[in-house]
Amino acid sequence: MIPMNRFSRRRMLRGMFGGAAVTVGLPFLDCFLNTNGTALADGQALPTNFGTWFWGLGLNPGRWEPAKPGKIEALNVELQPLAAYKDKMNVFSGMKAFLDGKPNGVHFSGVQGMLTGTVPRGMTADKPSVDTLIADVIGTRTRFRSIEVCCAGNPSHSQSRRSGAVVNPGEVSPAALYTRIFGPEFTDPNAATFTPDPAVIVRKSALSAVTEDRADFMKTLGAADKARLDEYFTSLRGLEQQLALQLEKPAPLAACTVPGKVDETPIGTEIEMVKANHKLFAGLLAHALACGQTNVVNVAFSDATSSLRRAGGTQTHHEYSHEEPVDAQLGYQPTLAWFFNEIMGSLAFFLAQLDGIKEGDKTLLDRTIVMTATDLGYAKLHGLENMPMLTFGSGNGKLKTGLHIAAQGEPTSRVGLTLQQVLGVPVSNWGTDSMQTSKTITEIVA
Amino acid sequence: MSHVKKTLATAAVMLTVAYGGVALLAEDSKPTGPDAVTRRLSQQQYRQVITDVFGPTIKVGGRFEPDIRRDGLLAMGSSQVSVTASGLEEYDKIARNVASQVVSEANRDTLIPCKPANAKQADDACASQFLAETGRMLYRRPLSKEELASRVKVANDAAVGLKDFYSGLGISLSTMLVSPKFLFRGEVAEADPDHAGQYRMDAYSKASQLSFFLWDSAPDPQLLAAAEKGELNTDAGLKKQVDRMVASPRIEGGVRAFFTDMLGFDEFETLAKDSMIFPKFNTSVAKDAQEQTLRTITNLLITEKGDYRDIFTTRKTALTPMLASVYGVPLVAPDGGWKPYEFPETDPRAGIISQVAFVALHSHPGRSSPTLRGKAVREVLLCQKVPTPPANVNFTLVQDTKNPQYKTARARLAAHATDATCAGCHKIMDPIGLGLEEFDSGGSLRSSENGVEIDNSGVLDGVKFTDAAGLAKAVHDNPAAPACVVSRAMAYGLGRLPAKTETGWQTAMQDGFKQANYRFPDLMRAIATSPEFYRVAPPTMGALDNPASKLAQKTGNTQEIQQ
Amino acid sequence: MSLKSKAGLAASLAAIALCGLGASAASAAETRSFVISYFYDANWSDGKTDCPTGLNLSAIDFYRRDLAKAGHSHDEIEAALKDFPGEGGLKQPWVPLVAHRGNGKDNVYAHPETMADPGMIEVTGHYSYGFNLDGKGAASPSKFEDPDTHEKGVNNNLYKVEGCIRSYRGLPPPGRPSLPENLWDVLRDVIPAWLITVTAPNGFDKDGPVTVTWDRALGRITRDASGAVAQQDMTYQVDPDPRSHNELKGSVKGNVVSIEPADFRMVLDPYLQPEIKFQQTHMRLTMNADGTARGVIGGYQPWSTVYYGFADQGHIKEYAASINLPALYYALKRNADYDPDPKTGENRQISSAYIIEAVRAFVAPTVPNKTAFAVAPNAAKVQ
Repeated sequence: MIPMNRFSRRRMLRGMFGGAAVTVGLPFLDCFLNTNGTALADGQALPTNFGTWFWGLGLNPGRWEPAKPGKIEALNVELQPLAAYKDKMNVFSGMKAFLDGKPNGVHFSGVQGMLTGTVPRGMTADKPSVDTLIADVIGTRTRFRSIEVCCAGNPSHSQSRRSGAVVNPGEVSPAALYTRIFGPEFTDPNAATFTPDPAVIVRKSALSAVTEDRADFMKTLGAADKARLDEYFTSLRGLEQQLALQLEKPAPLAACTVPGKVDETPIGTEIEMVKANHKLFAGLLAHALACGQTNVVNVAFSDATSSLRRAGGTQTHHEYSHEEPVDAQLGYQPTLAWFFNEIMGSLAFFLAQLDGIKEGDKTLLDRTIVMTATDLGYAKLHGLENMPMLTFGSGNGKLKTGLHIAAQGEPTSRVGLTLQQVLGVPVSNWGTDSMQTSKTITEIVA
Repeated sequence: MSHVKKTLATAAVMLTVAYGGVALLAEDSKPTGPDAVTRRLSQQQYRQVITDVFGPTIKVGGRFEPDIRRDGLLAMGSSQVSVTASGLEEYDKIARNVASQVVSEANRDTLIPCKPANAKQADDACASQFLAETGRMLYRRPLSKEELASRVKVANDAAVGLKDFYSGLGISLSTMLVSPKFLFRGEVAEADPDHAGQYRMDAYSKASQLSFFLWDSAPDPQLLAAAEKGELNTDAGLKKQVDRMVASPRIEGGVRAFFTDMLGFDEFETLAKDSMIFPKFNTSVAKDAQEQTLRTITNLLITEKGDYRDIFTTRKTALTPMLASVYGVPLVAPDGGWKPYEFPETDPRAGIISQVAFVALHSHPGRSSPTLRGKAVREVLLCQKVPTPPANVNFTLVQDTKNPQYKTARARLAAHATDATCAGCHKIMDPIGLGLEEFDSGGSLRSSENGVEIDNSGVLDGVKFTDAAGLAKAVHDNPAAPACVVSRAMAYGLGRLPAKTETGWQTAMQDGFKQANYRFPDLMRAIATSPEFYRVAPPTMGALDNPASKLAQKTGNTQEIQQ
Repeated sequence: MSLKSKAGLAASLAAIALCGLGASAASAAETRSFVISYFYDANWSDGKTDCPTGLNLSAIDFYRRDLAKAGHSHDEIEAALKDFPGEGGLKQPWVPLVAHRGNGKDNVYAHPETMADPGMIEVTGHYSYGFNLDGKGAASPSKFEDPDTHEKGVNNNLYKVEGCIRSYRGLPPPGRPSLPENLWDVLRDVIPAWLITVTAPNGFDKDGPVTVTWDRALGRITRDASGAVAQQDMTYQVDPDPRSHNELKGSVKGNVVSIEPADFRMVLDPYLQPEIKFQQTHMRLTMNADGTARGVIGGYQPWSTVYYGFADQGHIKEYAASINLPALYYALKRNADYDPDPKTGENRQISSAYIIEAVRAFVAPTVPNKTAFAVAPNAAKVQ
């Protein structure tokens, strides 16, 4: 685990020197910090996006974890296809799903733990997945609350669910997805009229009552405490300003372009086919995000019991996991490693689509957080230990990146909890039984 | 002056800062007491207050601003922190979430004492009733007329805007929950009619001081009622409330909160152990270890009404099966839960210092540390300050657990201490921590390191010992140990260090603790019934320019008078 | 470090601790207890000499062959196998076809004799873990030699049958055969832990007699922080269910414990097989200074129990692990080497051996009227 930097430098300054030394001289600011305090909010930040990217069968232990906790100096061999994103990603190792005596629904329990914080007792999930919880906060004002795609031909491969019974089925045809997003119903976000949210109007107005608390509360305070409270009220003005911005027409999505039409493509589990469809999906999803059609996307590259297979091959990725011997020289199952390389290559392609859309000096990936999910730790064992987890992008600076968090047998739900928190879901405790956690991964919170 | 005094005494009300301040400063320009402190509620306090006010069905979800530790306590840090921009955003989310649960269809009938005439419209009467009652619990004092009117207006406006009474009420409640009047607890000063020239907290500030100290939460209705009636301003009334609160089961929450703070258990958040070296040490062990120490302490101090010093030597504790495996002892607990356990005399574990929480927390991820453990005994348990190490020290030798020449921590530290700049400080830490060397960084017992038998001998302030039990006895007998907990408890309750003028009070508390056979609840009671605990200076700035408000109003409050 | 209280002890913690420690201090008797971390088929391999003619076919290939033999046309077969295996909810038109590839109407997993023996490539190498169960030594028809003890005439025909199936082939130790390792790793989180207690009346310092008991616990194993190994020094309570209680006479030599041949039975789980039931049981267990133990247990067991353990999940185990179940059925029957049926003369049991990996634990006495929970057999399915 990296030495925990529990406070950002900014908080440290404000906290440690308690207002008196540092903030006493601060005037009551008439300019406003943006929500992250990273810049002055003279313009509006573009919306923050969230995505999940799922594949089956985990990765080979020992071949994906960075060598050391803390700053990622270099990626391990199975993450090499992602090398371009070394500084824009986080790697979480040593996290697991806890069964608490519940049967291991192999290929099911692990991914449920990761995405819903709950390992179900049977083979039916009973909790919503993290993307829907986040979509309920960041995806309420877009045309689609979320968009799901399944690259291996089956809509039920989707891991996004509102509840146990309600799976958000994935689109399996890129051509159909094109029509759904960019067909006749597509509206140019920059041309659309804007209606302010009445709930925001009311909230903004209500906050003025808190501002009114200032005068009489301050009267009871000494000078040092007054400075501290000044900081509080500066923060309050920031919050009011944020709401004020929400009442204005949003910043134009300058990077929004409508992609070229996508034709029907063959659909199946053969890996080249899956990769080709994934490429089309990745491009469409990136454009959908850039055009504000949705703020949440979910990609299932394969099913959990990865039925990907090589062109002309008869065995699936999954069968190889059971049957291929560990190569004595190499120390791992070589065909499995081949599949993982293909999968990580596709993930890199997806990220390249997001990172390729430039928005000022930032990219679409920079205002997005992509979380990966998988069903297993070590495929050969079908185990739920040390399940690989990755995030990409900082979500408009909400997440620190370039870090390897090396946990020791802690629940995978910590990642889901932390991402919900940075994306504004009011949750301090998430999950069930031993998957329940209140431990934010503070190392990655900006 | 006598007129003023009489007015105050007879009215038995909270007098204004402004009025008293002007009068008394004019008459007596000497400093009149320690500065008031303004503390931000801790996460635990916030949660507890919400549970106390709305019941356990209301969940508090969100990420709180981190607390900071000053002078050995987070409670001290709480009077130094503010709310950052991102922190307020979080508080706002948490507040809206709590408020929406309170006004939800599932909860409104039980939590809102009235019904609107029309649920789609504003309702002044019902909003007023709910906001006045709830506001009193959240602000820990009654709302002024203006305050209430302002919140009712928010509720009404929002109800109109959203065409829903309950949504409007929720919005108004959420603004109370982000108000500094809820998030911070300030101390309102008033002239002390019994001590000319001195100030004391007003009765509501007293109630909060008492309640957060003893229960780690806001005053309950009985305590607020006592404040309102002026009972907290009489010795008998104060004593009655303190006795009630110390006797309540809720005192355990207060004692736990204090020791969680004093022992630095927040550091567990960041504790890491190398699972290759310490395969037994996992997340549940870390969690159980803290709980074990807290159970040891509360059992001894509250249930058994024992001597505080015995927390260092008691063999009575409680274990979970997982924790028992780290201790290497059998424990049958079919439900996987807690079972009382007493280490036999033959076991090297005695007291909280040899428990997993202490030895694991004060170690490195991959190796034990006599230095860190010795430092913790000095700083955490004896309240002694150890100087910070000089810059640019070469720790290579100490860290090299595979060094063929220096096989034990003792040998490595001895070699390291040949450097004179290091030796001085190590001398005051290492000989203490070496008594705990038989416990590895994961908290398990070991008899050797790199094949060399471990020597557990050491010395604390001239008292030599040969093992952990000997160290435990040395700490138990060290007069600094009870003195430390007294000064920590005082600082914890005050949110500040005791002032120089308060040395007499400190001495009295120390002596009283000894006379009470070091019974901790008695110490809390003694602190809570001290007039000094409520002594406070008037604010140096403020509404000193409003001599017009001379009349205290019986049902009013300080703010109202000030305006 | 360990203790095993016999009877009459109060279940209170203090009583257990004190009696346990007191007993070992008062006499020279010593007890060591272990909880089993891994238990799997003792399949040896060097990657070459065990299966010199190659491995058994993978599922899609033996399906093509078997379906053609059963009279299906090439086009029919290829159409059915188009999306093979079609996991994750795709249509699986091949399933009814392969499940009835015998006479076209009966399920071949329940009725393997409805199809002719498709044949199994068996182990022909020199080495096998296990024991000389029939006592014939070098004169035994089995030519296996144990690679560790170098005992000759080792009887382990289960290995002979399984060893050239891809998912069951062994690995050089400490590697474990793939599917058996996988199955135990999945199963051990949900079944009651297995306990071994060794009591030496004269202590472990000198060689001499010991008593070895095997029991099931009331609870599951607890994994350590690495997740791969059981947490050392956890306390387990014995399940009083007599079906899984075995008291075995044995001896200790150095740090190796062995037993005299006896009957043996442990309830397991239908996920693997309902029970392990041996006759002529042999065991050796090496107790290491770090608290771990490793060994082999073997004996003759009913081959039908083994078969139905495999066949329980039908096509799932067949295709996911490339085990041709009718071929397995015939191979087990053919290689059965003990307990002839008085009527038919056919052997009903097969020699077998399993690897034991264990860690130190405390074993506490039985709680009356309390038995281990059952695990829903269909809850965890192999994929």
